[in-house]
Amino acid sequence: MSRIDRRTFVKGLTAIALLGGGVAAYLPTLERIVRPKEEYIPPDPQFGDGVKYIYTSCLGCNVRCGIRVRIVERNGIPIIDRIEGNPYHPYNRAVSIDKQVKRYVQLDYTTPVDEATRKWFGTLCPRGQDGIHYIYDPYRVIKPLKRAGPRGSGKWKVISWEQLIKEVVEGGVIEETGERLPGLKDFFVYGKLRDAGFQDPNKVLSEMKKDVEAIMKIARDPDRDYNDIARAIEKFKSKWSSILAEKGLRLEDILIDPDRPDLGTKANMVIWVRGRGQGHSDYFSKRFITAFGSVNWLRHTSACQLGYYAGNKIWAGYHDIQGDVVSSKVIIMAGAALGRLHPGATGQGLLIERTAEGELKLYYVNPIAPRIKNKNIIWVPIKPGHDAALAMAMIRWIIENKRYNKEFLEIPNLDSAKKKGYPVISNATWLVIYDRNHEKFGEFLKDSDLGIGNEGKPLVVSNGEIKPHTDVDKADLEWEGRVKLASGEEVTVKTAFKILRDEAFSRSIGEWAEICGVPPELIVQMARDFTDAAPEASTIIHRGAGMHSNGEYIVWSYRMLDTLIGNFHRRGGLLARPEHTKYNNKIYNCYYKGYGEPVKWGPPIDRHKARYEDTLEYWIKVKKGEDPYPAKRPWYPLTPEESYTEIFAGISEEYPYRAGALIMFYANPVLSANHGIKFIETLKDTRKLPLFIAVTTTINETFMYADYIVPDTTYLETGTLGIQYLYASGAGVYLAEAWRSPAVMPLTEKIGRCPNGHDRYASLWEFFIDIGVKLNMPGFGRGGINGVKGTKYEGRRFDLYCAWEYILRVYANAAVDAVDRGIIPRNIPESDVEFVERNYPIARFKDILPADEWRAVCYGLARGGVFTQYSDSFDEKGYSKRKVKGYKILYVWSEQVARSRNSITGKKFWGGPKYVPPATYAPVEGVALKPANAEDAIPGVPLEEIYRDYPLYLVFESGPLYTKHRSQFYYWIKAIAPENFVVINTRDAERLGIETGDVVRVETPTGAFEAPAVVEPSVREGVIAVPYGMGRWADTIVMKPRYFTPGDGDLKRIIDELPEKVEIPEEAVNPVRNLPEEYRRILFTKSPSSYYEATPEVDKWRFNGVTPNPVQMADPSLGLWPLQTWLGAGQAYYDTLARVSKTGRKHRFEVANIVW
Amino acid sequence: MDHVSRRMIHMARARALMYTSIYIAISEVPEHIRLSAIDLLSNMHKELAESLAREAGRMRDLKARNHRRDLDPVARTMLPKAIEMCYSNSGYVVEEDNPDSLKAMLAFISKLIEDEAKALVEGRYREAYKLRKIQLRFINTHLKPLIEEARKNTDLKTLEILEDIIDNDIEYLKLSLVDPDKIDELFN
Repeated sequence: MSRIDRRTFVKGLTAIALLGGGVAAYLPTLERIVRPKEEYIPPDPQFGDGVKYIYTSCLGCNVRCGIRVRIVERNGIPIIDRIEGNPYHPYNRAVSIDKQVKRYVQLDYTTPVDEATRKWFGTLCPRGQDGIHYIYDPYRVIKPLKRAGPRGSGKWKVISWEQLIKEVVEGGVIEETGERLPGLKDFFVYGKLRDAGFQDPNKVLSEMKKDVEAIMKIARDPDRDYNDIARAIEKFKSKWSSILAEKGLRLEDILIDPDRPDLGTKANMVIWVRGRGQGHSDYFSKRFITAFGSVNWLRHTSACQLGYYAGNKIWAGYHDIQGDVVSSKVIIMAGAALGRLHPGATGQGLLIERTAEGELKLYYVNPIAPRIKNKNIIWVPIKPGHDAALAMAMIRWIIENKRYNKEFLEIPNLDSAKKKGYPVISNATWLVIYDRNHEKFGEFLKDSDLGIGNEGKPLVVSNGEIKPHTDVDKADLEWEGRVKLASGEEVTVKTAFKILRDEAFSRSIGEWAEICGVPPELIVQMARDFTDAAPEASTIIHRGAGMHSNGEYIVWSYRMLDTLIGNFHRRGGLLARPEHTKYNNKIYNCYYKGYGEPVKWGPPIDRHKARYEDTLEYWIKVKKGEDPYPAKRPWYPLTPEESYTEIFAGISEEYPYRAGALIMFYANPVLSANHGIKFIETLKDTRKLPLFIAVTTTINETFMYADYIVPDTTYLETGTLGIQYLYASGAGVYLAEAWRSPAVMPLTEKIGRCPNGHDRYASLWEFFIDIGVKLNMPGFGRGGINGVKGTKYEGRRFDLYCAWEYILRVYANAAVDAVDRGIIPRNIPESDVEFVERNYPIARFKDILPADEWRAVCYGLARGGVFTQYSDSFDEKGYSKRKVKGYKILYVWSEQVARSRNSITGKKFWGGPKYVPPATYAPVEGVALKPANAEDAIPGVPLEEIYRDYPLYLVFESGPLYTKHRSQFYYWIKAIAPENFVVINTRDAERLGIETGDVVRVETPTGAFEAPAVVEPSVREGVIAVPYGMGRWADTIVMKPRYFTPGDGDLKRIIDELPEKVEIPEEAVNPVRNLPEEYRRILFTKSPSSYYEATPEVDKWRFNGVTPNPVQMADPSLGLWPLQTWLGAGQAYYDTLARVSKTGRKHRFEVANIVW
Repeated sequence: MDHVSRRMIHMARARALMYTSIYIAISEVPEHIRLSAIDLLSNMHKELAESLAREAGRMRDLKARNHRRDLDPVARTMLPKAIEMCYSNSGYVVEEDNPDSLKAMLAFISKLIEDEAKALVEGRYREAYKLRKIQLRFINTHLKPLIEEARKNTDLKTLEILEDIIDNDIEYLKLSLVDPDKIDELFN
């Protein structure tokens, strides 16, 4: 036998290796014979096969940070296992292992993607990183559901996607109860006209709308009487009944109310409400509602920042304006939480860095302390709702010490401003008729008033003469006098600046300090520092200031500080939102108009941006000699966006019209509004709300009353896909937008393929598309997307049968525009295309675009958006290169506001910044108005007067950990902050005999809740605070809340009637069960497996804690509907008065270290 | 990936196939599988394949407790437990009735080498190094002594050839642990 030497051995092995295919196949069998004692889980691979990276945008909150998501394939399933920040994004900025720096800056946009991915990281807050629990949530619904019992019973059954679409369009029956549900077809007026044989439904609708406008003209004509209106309406009805009858239709089929044609068509009875909206779910849903012909595309803004928006809009004509965090040297940050407001926890890190290094002094005006130890972050412990007093005190000091920018304030018109190099003016010099008893009180004195012109130009005083503001370059600031009008009357007039000055000087600084609770020396220090740094000083204002009943006046008062120093639109000063690309209509029309959408008219159900005085209801009353006030509900012409309270009050009171169907998306007003439980009565009422459809990932406290549940996806799949513009101040950059594309394909049910072969998954997108196709709505289906006029695609049309056919074109719009702007290069590196095609799930649909557009899109996708640099964003004078948004006039006094009337009392609103205490919208029955109230700017009764037995203010705190209430699934965050409580000031606690751990009862005028107390000095005396984000009772699974009790008996009964258990088919929920076991265990280490296996059960962390919302303030002057801001209809969250007592029980905290 | 690593992956895959083939050849598996294993081994050493084909049944029955006459009787009776502990301490469970059988040992070594190959491919070099150390220790402590002693007690020709193979394998393992750069020389 020949021996085996080394050579033979190696040769032999080589031969075996080459030929060993058959035996190699046996190796898996060997795995059963010899197996690891413990399963070996290798460390996460960072790169290589099976590892992908996607740059996209976070939705942990609304800041729109950039994220980089790592996906690893395990057992053939792509799984998200890490989320970090996007270093290209201006908020997240870049940090590298190789290079440690003190100040993070955003990565240059042209940095190769491979380098960015391997060497650079972006910062990201805890919510963003814990997004993994958002997508992998056992409570998620993945198939369509229909209720299988009365509304709110918690009984659901699975239906097919086809059945869902059919019933939503044609109507359905709840088999278990026999209820019939209407279909959207019943309200699709455009379709009815078309199906009846009108070739051009829009021609019919246009003509009808014109006729309605003619009726309104008659109604407004002072020389016409009631009979003229009545005749006009009858003529209208007769004409249109006849035309419609020829095609077998009646007026009642088309209009909501033939006797009230100003209310619009029946399409308006279909109402869309979204909670968390972002591009492009917003644009797409607006496209749907507009294509349906309804005016009711409504948002959650009242629950977000509407008081702040309305205040800004009144003042500057644009709703979102904030201080420049990059360069301001002094910032007054009022009502904004550190760790939340744009630029978010990540971008605000820059604020903190700058204060730590002495570059910035931040005055944190908030009843809750900033809890950061840093001598340049100074806590200003304000009394909630009384900020205007602080602002007035500062204004007084600034004017007294002449620390304002006189040159800027004296400019009366834009041409003069241009000469002096300012992009805007203020109307400080404009004259206002200031005779309280005169009908024109609050209006600008105009050329037509004096008979010196007829253009309606406001007048000013210059060199002792009264002139049109356009005719002089400089005018007097502090002027007051008597003038004779052309009518012969004499009136007092004052400049807007004088009115402001008089308000500021109506009290001493000490008196103002007494009102707002801030020491006078601190106020003076703030005013001095602010004006010393001018114009590189600014205000950052947010909810805590704006979401009071008097919120708009608070915001307006603060913004006077900015106006006085002339810091608008400049580096270090105030900035609006960054520019963005023409993502909606560069070459493809992805916008919500311009594709043949139906003509529409009428007020929205919540009466936002609509005047009561423009309605037939008003004029009919006036012409009949009746007092038109009160209207049934308030109208809000001055607000830029929508109101939760008024949506539901409108539906409930069928005012201004009845609702037919409500489609709601990603919203939870029952929980998120103050006293939102009031809305449940409306949601349960099938007569007032015949059809209720919810598009959602889980079934929350609002959606549990829906008739149909449409399963949706999270932002890591296809949820809110598209392009996100950034909010003010957008880190000061000229242009920035974050692009969101899927990290993984949806976990919801696959519903098939579109006619062009693309996969489709249950989601908001496909829901709208299928309804649009079924109803044959313009803008959907075959040729649904038109090419933009004047571009290569003019006259062409493209199909819209799936989400991809829409969103790829949105990216193409953005990319092509970015190329034209020189931000994306014309020659796209091959490596970028390869990176996207290798990593991004959306790349499989690239066939939708031509190659050149796809390549440009890859550049943007590979970087998670389009971003410019701060250093390139200002001109040589320090003004922003962005377009100036708004009126370009900063209103120190607003005639528009001064003319607006409270639609309950008929009283005019005060037209300028003013201190007024938080109060009801109107007088309260049984509560006498003080004489002062009858004259001044308070529309109703101050809350402190009505609720004298409630000495404390109850607020909530939102920080970097939780995202309002939709984040109780963030289990990694829960591990450090598992529960919440009520924070009570040390002195208040001492007085009440309360210690940390005592369970206390918090009573408000609308009810009570119980929670453990935490005693700290970090909340000001007189205020109690609840850290936000907990207290849920429904999230697909229902757990009856036991911690709060409504004061109202009917509401208490509703809560008591919540089901003990839900009945929901196992197949409809829980995508987590498909994950490998090791992932499930790692994600939910604190939970029993019953939480994430099969049909999930109640898991403690999803339902623990408290929220103050159910028992927050309602308005006794408006039927105890949730209290709102007067002008904007924002939810007045921070005006809840409360009292606290001990229950005698103690609470054992889950962790020893209390974090909030 | 460098040249040495590539060589080591090649060696690991080949060695795994070799030991697996020997294991299959002496196991009760479907005949066509056994024949393909023997066929493969014939490309390495014709006589090995022929003797395995003849002696498979007797090879299958070889156990350390019966043949390790180099150990005292008490120690021999404890061998099954000791070897099972060895598997466990290495992080494995061997589902063979007799942990001290040649079959079990061959299966264990095959698995170790297979895992070494995977680790090398995935860049887990420290893991691979650790696995080679375990192989060397096991072969020196249990596999080679069984083959040496059984050779003395039986007339199994296969054992003679196996002893040569294992000696070469030990040399390779030592080289790979101490001076891996010299692995290339094996192929010259």
